[in-house]
Amino acid sequence: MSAVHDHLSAAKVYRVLAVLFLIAAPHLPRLPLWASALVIAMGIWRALAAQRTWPMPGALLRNLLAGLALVGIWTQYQTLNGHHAGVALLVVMLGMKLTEMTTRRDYLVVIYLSYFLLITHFLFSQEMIMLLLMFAGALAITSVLIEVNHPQGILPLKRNLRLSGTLMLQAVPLMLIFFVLFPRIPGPLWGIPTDAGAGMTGLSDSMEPGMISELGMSDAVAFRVRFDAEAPPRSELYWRGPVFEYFNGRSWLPGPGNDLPIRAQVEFEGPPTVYEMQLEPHGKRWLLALDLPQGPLPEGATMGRDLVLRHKWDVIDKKLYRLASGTRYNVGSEASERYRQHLLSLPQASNPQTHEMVLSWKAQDDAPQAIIATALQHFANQPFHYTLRPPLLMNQHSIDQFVFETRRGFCEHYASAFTFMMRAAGIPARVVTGYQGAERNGDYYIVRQSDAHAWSEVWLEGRGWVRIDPTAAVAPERVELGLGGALPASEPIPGLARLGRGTLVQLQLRWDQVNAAWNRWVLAYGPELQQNIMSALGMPGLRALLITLTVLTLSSLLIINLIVARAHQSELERDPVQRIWRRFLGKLKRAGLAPQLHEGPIDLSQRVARERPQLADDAQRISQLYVHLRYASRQTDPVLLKRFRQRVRQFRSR
Amino acid sequence: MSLFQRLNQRFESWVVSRHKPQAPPVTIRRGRCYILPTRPGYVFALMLLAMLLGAMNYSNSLAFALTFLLGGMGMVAMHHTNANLLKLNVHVPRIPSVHAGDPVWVPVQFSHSTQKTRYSVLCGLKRSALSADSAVDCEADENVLSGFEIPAQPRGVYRVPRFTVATEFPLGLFQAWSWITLSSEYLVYPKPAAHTRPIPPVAGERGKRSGAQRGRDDFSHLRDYQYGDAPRTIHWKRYGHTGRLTVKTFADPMDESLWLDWASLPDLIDPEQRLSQLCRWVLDAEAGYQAYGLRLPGVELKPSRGAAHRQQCLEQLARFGTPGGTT
Repeated sequence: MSAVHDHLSAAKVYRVLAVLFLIAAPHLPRLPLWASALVIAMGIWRALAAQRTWPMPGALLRNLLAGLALVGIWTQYQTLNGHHAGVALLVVMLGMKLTEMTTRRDYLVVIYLSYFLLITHFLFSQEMIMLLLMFAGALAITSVLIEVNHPQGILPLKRNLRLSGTLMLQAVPLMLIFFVLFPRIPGPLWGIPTDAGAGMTGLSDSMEPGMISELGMSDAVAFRVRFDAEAPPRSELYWRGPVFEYFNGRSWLPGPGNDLPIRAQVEFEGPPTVYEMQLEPHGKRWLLALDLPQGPLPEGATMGRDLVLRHKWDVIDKKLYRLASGTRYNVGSEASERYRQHLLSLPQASNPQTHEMVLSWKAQDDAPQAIIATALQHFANQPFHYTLRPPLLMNQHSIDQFVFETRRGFCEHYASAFTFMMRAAGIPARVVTGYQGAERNGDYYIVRQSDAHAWSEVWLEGRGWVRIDPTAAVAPERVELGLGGALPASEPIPGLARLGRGTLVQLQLRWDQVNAAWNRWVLAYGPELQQNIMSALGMPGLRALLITLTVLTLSSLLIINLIVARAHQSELERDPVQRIWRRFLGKLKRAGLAPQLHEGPIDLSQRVARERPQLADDAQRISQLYVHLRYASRQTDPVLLKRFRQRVRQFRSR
Repeated sequence: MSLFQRLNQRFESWVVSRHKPQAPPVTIRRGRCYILPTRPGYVFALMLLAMLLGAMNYSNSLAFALTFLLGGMGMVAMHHTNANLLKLNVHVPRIPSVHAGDPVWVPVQFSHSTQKTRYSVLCGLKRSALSADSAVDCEADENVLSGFEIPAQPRGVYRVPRFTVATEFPLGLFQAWSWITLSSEYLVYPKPAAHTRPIPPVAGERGKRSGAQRGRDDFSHLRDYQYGDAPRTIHWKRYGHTGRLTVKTFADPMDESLWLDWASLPDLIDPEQRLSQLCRWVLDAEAGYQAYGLRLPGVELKPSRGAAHRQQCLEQLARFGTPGGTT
């Protein structure tokens, strides 16, 4: 056991622990319970140890504890890589470090790690409120760093916060300059942990009954969109997301080679719709786009043969991108025989009732158009219901159960059943998920998770892929009015999706506008926006960026230097009268009439008169003015001061 | 020696060549204030680099913002550290003299007439050996005393070595410092020899040393009553207070003065040993009752007594044979 010879006094230790708690607290709910308890216990123990001067545990015990904690984290997460495991490790190790926090070096390690812990919060959330955490955290950590560098007694809290607050406020202009002008590069430098997108809501990479209706309960924003010109009509607002080409009898999954680059030529009709997307992170690779993007693709994005835009990496941060889409298009001749077979494949002997029914339709008229029409009519005429609360489909043949028994379903039920029918009839078909509709808010549109939707696409000879939305056959209001218009009031739809809403909703929409601005200008600030700004300022290119950055940084540092130096001036130096008088003395000195230490202003002017009679008048007036300004009254007379300044300026020693 | 250390040394010697010793007090001017990152400062920079790479990897705007905020604070702190030292007056009041073998304490007094409190100002001999114990805060128009120790030195007269006044406040990322070169001197007296040689009974100018005789003219001091003391010498008033019999003794300085003489120690060949012995005698003589004088080659101090006289004697011993001394 080593004796405590603490670098800091107990009062300072409490401050360090309080700050540490402030920084770690938002992480605690994310940690396993034992880790949170351990860290809090360590903090309490360290505070008591400081108060009662308990000895620190020996190296053996310390290493044992640290080792156990490491094993605990490993068993919890099965990895030390990844956001959650990494943060848990950092927090637990900080807690362990408290057991050997005695020297100045130890304290510095703890403080620097706290800065690091602060930055990890932004991996989990970048809401506007986090800006507050950033400033409060930086201020708090810096205030204890000041204490560590003040080896005498503890500074009064107010004084300490004023010191650290001054440092921080003076650093804010530099932060802004760097934020705007520091060259941003696209894409990650290395990988991103696999758990980075965990817990984010959004479309899933498989579709089974009940999946999208769950999303339908969420008010969360999926993305915001700003159209350059008029928005297309609501019924054309199909936002394309993941596409599923493989059915295993229950779930729809992406087919193999879905993300192979598209080879077919797409022909568009009519002028493109140009818009800017602000995509919320969803932890998957696809970039939502209005069906179907045509223009230059965003940086790092590719389009697969399923016509879905994919980013190079998972979308774990807000993304801002511009796109041009055409709502009417023709995906030409792409469909090899193998691909056709793939788009027709169904599990053996799956859903026999439905299969049989479709074959009977086909026997009547085997033109694809006729089969499609029959299927849609079947949904419209039979007592099918559109509901967010469909009964569970437990049967092995879930589509049979839906089509013939329950007949209550959400969009994914209809899309799934329809696509199955098409394949059974020999028409290549697939399921597309995404969002449908949008809600206007000021000059942009919001698309929420409750707008999530699923529809079908069929391949028709000569026309290529054609979108068919079977839900529209059951509940046309879904497409025209949205979820709130399509569902009866008894359904538990989220408040923001309802039609006709109160002030609370209006307030929420206002708040969303603030958030949208925050997303657009702060969170999505990246290479593209930076280049746009620099081009708008007439300074394109990396060089201009770096030069501006350097010039602005240096000049603001200079200004800060002047501010700091001014604060350290003595009162005498700040006094304008004194400054002007010194200027006068400087002029005399250059003329070889250096003032002597023992000379007052009157003596000086008399000597000047003796040695340089031609300067006598000027020198005497200036001296008199100085004496008057300096000693005659407490307040400086501005008129006299002005005259004094003028005379000194005009004073010529030759 | 690493390249860094060598560069450091080159820099120091260049700076020192610009410095001329000044009479205290000295005000730290901009041109004499240097600043470099500290080791924690470099670590801080590394941490910022790691944060920046993380922010780039995740294209995380708030991570960028925090990195730039902390970077900005580091840069701002540099100016604060520098300003914390500027226009600070450094004064070294009289340095208490010591005997050889004892460390010298150099008191350093700080003051300033600007408005901002100067926090955690350190002083020390070397930049690398600044003790946190020397840290002081200096409010406006206030004199604050700090200081540092010079390790024990041999006897002589010394000029205060060039010393460092530094600060790392507020964040410890940078150290601002100034080298102070003063013209003040201090003395290191000889180390007193062991109590082996009593003061030799050398005769005074007039009369002889007669330890048993008591003078009558000048009151010298009080001592305990011994059998045989004349009753009129008893301090009766004191007896009334303390209940102890004490007698007043009187001394005649001319009669009983001691001469502490360099020449009386011919057997000590090493001059330092002689000075050491003389130093011991000066101290003992001051503790005794008689006036004493000091004779060194070329120096003679008339017999006297008291702290001022003792100090004069010791000073002569310290200066003996040095360029600043009389010989």
